[in-house]
Amino acid sequence: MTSQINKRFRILLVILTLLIGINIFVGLASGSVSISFQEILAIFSGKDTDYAHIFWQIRFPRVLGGIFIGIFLALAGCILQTVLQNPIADPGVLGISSGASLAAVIIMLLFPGNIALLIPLSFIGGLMTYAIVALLTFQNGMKPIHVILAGISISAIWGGFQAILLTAYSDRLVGVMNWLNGNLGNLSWGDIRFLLILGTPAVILAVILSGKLNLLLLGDDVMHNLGVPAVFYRFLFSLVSVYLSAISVSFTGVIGFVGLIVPHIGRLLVGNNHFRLLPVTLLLGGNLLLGADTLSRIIIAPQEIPVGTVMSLLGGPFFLYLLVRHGKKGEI
Amino acid sequence: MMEIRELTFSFRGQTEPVLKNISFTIPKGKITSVIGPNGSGKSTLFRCLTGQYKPQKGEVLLKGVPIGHYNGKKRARLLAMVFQKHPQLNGITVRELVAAGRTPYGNGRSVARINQQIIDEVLEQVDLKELEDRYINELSGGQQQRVWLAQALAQEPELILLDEPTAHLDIEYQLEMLRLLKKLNEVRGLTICLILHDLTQVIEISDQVIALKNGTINALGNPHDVLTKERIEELFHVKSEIFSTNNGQKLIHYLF
Repeated sequence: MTSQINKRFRILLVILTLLIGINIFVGLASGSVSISFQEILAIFSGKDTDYAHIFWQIRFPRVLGGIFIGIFLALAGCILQTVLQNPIADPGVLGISSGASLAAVIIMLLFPGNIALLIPLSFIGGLMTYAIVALLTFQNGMKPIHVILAGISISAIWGGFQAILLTAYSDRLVGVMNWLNGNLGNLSWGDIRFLLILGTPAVILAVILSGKLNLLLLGDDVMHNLGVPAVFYRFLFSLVSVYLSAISVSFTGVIGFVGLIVPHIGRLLVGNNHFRLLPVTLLLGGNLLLGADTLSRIIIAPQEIPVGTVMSLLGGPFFLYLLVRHGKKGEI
Repeated sequence: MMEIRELTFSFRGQTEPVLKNISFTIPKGKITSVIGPNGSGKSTLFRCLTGQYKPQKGEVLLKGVPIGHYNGKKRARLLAMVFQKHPQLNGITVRELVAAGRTPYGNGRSVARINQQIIDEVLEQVDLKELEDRYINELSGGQQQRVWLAQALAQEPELILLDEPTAHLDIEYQLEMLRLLKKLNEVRGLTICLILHDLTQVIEISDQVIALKNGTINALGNPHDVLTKERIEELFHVKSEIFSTNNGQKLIHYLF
């Protein structure tokens, strides 16, 4: 049966990879300007067509950004759910994204000349929020529902501060509003390079340490019994998750629910073993955000809606479904 | 195998210790049972023995060395514990969970072959070889308990602690588990220390019994000496009769 499980897993990886290919193609072709299949082939072959500039400078980085950010957010959610043993954990739901977002808004509005601080401060903002949620709920054993309520409350507080800043500095909002709603449209090749350089090590680290994520599933008692320091790995993986969320927020604003939806679908498909779950989560994350972004461009074409809004429309009902499902099972 | 000297433990913020001045020895190659009413400190004692809880006073010596002096991996190669409650795991196979028991030995290429060999042996020992590719969540309670035991055995420990290994199992699986433990003790020479509630089973399986009450040792000795009518009433506030069967077995009958 293990061979059957592995065979199913490999087939799934092939399907998801093919799906990413299709998603990339549709994402490259769709938008306010449709680019035909023939033209895409011509552009790839080096011809300078009417839409070559749009294709290379706008569509391509956007599509790659969708894949990378989808991967980062999905992985961040998957790790959080394992670390906290909380089926409805997600960087957005826990307020990590809001903390990172507030820090980013502070930099963009108050210190626009210090854009290099954007990512480190977003990371600190996310980390502080995570620490506050952990401190507030630690006494109650970090029960899922308490963690979620604390996360939602802190998100609301950060949202309040953010609203004050946006009102006070309304003359500096150019570009910020678009970013705030979660948008992949502004990504440049430079951003993609940064995303790759910053995010890839964290993704590789998580994949290499898949076995330790599996041990976290067994609980602190069993980890101690096996001679593995549970606290260290919980802390390490929390940092990785917050870091990936902060990078994503810094570049594209808050895009919620990817980290919630994707790991759940992944577990339905391949179960909890992270050796199988992480690769599937990465591919599903890329697929979901890329697909959602394409949708955001064609729902009311030629106008666009932010991909964050599309994800809220998809993720909100899913979150409610999870609340009801896990509530019935008494898991939250 | 393990020596516990004047161990006192209390949880942070609590003035009354859960364990008070406890001293005893777990002899090598023997089966030691710990009994006592709920709240007497049995599970806390086990967590002190593994080094998970640090006692305020006293020490736990594993093969003559204080438990806290071992690094995690070295300790895990000598001492394993099977817990009473297990996490719900979906989509993880029996073999994958048992393989986690090899964590203290690493998973590099140099040990991969021996790891697989040990996992195969352990799966045979607990009679789970045929189920090795099944998901844990598809197994019965008794089978799941055997998987967790197999994981602990895969650590190749010299001493194994089991916190109520027969809890939540029906009688067939309870006996199956105890027979398996007895066999591991006799065949492998495994030192076993376990918490049990069924006193007849305690008599049947144990070489030594430790009775805990209110965090102190109420009695310690061989099961026939420790488990008397008077002590059962003192420990559990239950009147009982103890019968001997034709083949020399002792049965405890509780009076309503």
